[in-house]
Amino acid sequence: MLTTSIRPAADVFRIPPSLWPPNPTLEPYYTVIKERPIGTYTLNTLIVAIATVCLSAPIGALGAYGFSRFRFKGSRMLLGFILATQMFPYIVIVLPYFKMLVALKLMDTYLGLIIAYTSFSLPFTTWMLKGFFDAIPGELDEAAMIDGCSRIQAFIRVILPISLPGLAATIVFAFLVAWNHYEFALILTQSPGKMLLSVGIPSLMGQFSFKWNQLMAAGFMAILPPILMYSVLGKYLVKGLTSGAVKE
Amino acid sequence: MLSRERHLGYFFAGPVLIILTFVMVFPLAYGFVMSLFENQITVEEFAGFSNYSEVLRNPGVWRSLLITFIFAAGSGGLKLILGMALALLLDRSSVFHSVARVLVLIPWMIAESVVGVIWRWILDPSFGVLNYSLLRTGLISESIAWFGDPRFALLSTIIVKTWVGLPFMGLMILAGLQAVPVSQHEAAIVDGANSWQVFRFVTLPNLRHVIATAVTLDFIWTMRSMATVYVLTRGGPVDATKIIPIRIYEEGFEFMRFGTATAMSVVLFCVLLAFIAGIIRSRVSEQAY
Repeated sequence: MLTTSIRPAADVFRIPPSLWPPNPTLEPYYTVIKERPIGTYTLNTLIVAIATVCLSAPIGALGAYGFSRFRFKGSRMLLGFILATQMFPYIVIVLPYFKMLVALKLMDTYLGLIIAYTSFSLPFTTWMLKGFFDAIPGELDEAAMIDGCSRIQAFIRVILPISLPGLAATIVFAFLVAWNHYEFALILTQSPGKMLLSVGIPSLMGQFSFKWNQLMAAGFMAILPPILMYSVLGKYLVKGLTSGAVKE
Repeated sequence: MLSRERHLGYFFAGPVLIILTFVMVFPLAYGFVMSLFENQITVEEFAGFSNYSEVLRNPGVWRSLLITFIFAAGSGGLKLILGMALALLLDRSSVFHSVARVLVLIPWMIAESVVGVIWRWILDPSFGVLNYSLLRTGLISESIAWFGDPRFALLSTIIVKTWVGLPFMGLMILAGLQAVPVSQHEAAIVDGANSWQVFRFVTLPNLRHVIATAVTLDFIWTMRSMATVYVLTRGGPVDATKIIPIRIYEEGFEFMRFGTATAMSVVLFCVLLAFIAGIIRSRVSEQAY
């Protein structure tokens, strides 16, 4: 993919194909950015993904703490439901969403997409954060409360800071899932101006089926932000997955 | 202390539950209501279960179900075999940690739709790398239209889906492998078992639970998204790869028949629910309270 993306157009169809292009160029990137709305797609995807995470991470954290620390009537069943929603086929949910957003005049808007994306992002963050909170012993909350904290203060001042790696991991994963999501983006946007990357890039395939170098350039740009995020936050992710021991 | 604060549980979990009611429960319920209506672009009248009988009598739907099953079972089987091989390989190697990190990364990094675009290029009939290599080595005498030929399209999508899901399967099995007690291995070897017998009678029985979970989850996730197949083939050629989600999508958004489309999706939902319920039961009971 990378090597195709830096080939001059004439070189793409050379037979035999070479592994590394003899004269690499950034021209495909330049052309695809200039001639196609890649910038718009990227901006749209960023807005929707970030807003979805900003909405689902804090609410998910509250809920995760609730499910982790309290047993209340129906909590097991509700937890099962939250897990189950992560397995529902997207197509089943997107049909009613389409009709609802049309009725609410929210088709083709960021708000409509963000609401739809929350439907899979919120259960995901809740479930994942619950796993991290479960790993922190409840004695810690109790110690904080004996020291004069309320439940809510114990959660915000003690539990949240300790689970920072877990929070970071959850946020990154939730962002990636939203960034890469396809079905809602396909159906709930109609104008090219609101299209997201996951739909926009395959749509380029129809428009210029033989400019593979430009397509690969666009594809590479779409996977670059997730890779960057991973390389910056990767250590948090690994720590997040192995943490649990309390040292303070 | 905890019982006194029972109401606080509702306070913390409340927002999640309220929002989920609006963004998940309500759409699901509305979808069911839609499936009871004769619902074309302009007409909208109550139709009872007639959409369902129409869907169930449609041979295309059954064909799609069969294709979906072949697609899920085929890619699932391939993933299981290759994932097992991968896991056994990684289990022996000391570079496990760095490799595993990269493995986890791949499926999360690349959008399935972009994966589709990349594979369209690799499997391009005229200029793709695969056809070139096969032609060069003499395995085939003329280019294969991997996604254009009904004989190969389903196979090609299965291969791409396997590539997408392999890391998850490999990592799950690897985690299972590392939980197999070393003492059992040693006991078997002391008793004179060869390495195949150790694998067959010690390793495999220990992995039973992990494999069952991984295969079921993979099956559910394969049904969940249509992105890969849709970008690769759009369900064609001549319906050869029209898995159920794609059929539902077309029914709803190309033919604008929302009634039958939602009826199909309720059918799909019910089929999957049995699998989902099984997974949930084991996952939730694993959770320590």
